[in-house]
Amino acid sequence: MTLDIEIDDLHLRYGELTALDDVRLRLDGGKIHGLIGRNGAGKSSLLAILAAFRKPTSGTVRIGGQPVFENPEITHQVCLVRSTGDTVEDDDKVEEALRFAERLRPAWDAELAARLVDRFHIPLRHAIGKLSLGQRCALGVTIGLATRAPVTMFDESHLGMDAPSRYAFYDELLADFMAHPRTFVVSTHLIDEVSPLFEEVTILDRGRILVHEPLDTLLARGTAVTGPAAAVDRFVDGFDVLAEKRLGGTRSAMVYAAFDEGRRRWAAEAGLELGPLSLQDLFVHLTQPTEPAEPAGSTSAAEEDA
Amino acid sequence: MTPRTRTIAGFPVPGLLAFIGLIGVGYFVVVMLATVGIATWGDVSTSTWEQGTELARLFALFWVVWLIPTYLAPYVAHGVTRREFVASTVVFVVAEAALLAALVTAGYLVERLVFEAADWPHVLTDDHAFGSPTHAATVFVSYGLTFLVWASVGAMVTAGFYRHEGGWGLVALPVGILLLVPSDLAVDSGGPPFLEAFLDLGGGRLGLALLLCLPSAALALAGAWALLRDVPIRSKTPAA
Repeated sequence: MTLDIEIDDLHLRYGELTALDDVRLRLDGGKIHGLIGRNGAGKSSLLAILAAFRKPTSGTVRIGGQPVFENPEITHQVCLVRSTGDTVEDDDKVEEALRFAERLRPAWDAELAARLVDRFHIPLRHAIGKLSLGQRCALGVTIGLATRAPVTMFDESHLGMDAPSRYAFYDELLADFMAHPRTFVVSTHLIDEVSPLFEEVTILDRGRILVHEPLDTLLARGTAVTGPAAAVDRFVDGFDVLAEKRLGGTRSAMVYAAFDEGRRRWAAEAGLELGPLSLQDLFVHLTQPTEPAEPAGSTSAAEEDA
Repeated sequence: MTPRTRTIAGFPVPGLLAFIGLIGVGYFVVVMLATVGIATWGDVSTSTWEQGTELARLFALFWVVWLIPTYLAPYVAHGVTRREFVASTVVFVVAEAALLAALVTAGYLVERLVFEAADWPHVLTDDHAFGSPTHAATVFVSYGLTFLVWASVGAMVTAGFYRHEGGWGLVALPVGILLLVPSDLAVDSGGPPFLEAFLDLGGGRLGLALLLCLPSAALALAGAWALLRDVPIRSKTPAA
C-alpha cells in the first residue's frame, strides 16, 4: 500500500520562533523522498508533525487523505525514526525493543529485523543505553525498516553510523523499497551519499519550502563545465559560477544554469565536458540566495565539508 | 487482535503487574520479619502491616510516575495515539489499585493468622473506614480507593511535568495534593485536621469516601488527559 502525504498552509511556532511557515507540499506515495535543509530549517519539526509527534500551530496534514494527529487509522501506518532512535527506552534490551515493536506494529517483519540486527552487529542482549552511537542508530533504522509502515521516515537516523554500515543501510532501504513499495522520506545532511536513492527532493529553508522537484529536474538546474582553463573562462562568462576547481591548465566550474542545445554544441566544439552538478553543491547554492556568487578560485562549502 | 486492543491488553509491558505483585508479596515478608524482630526485643501491640501499608500509596503513585515519561514516547512512536495511551494508563491505574488493595487485604488476613499463633493483639492504631483488619471487603474498598486516588494524582502531576512548558507541573502539584485529601477518609494517614469531623461517621464514612474519592480520581485522570492530549513527544537529542 502506498499513501500520499498532503500538507497545506502548515505553520508551527515555538513561542516567538516560527519553525514552519506556510508549508504547502504534496509527496506522492510509493517514492523515496529526500528532505534536506540547513540546521534549523524545520526538517525535524515537519517530520514530527507528519508522525503526529507534534501538533501544528495551524494548517492541515493528511496522509492517505486522512488527518494524521490522533488518528489511529493513520498513526499505525506511519513510522518516524528520529536521530538515534530516541524513542526507544534506554533501559530495555535490544531484543525487548524489537518485541515491543512487533507487538504494536501490524506489518512487522521479524525475519528482516533479525537479519538486519545480524548485518549491523547489534548485540541483542545489551541494554540500548549501553550501545555505541553507531549501534543505536543501526537499531533505529532496523526498527524503521522492519516496521514496514506504509509511510516510513528517517530523520538523520543514519548519521551516527560508520560508512560501511551507512552503505548497508542504503542497500537495505532500496532493496526493501523495491520488494515492498511504500513512501519513504529521508532527511539527511549526507546529501551526496544518499541522493542517488531519491526520486523527489524537497529543500526546506528557514521554515519554508524552497524547492520541491524530481531529483533529475533539480540536478538539471546546474552544470559542471570542465576543460582547458581559458575555454572554460570564456564559456562561463556571465553565468552564475557557484565554485570552481583548478588543476594545472584544467578548470572545472560549477555553473547554476541549464544550457540549451546551441551552447552544448559550442562546448563540444571547444573541447569542454559538461556534467551534472552534485545535489549538495546545488543545495549549498540554493540555501544561500541572498549572498552573491562566490568569486572564481574559491571553494564551495560542500568541498570544505568533504 | 488489532493494534488498539493489543495496546490496552499488553500495557505497559507484559508482566509489570505481576512484577508489582511480587514486590508486594516480598514487602509483606519483610514487614513480617520486622515484626518478629520487634517481638524479639520488645512488644508487638498493634498491627505492623497497618504501618507498613503507609508506604504502599507511594508505591502505587511511583509506578504511574515512572510509566508515563518512560513509555509515552515509545508508544506514540509506534503509532499509538495519546488517547489510546491515556486509556491504557487508566486501565493500568485501576488494575494496579485493585491488585495492591487485594495484596493489602490478604496481608491483613495472613497477619491475623500470624498474630493469633504468636498471641499478639491484632488491633489497628489509626482510625480507618474499616473497623477491623479482617473485614476483608471494607479493607479492600478502602485501600482500593486510596491507591486509585494516589495513582491517578500521580498520573496528573507527571503529565504536568512531562508537558513542561507553561509551568503545568507546578500547577498540577498543589491541585494533586488537594485531590489526595479525600483518600484520608478511607485510610487515615494523619491528613488535614478538618477531616476529623468526618471520622466518626461509622459505616457512613466509607460511603463518603467513595463519594469523594471516585470524583477525585476521575478529576485527576481527566487532568492527565487534558495535559497529554496534544503534548509534543520530546526528543532526547537536539534536532539536526
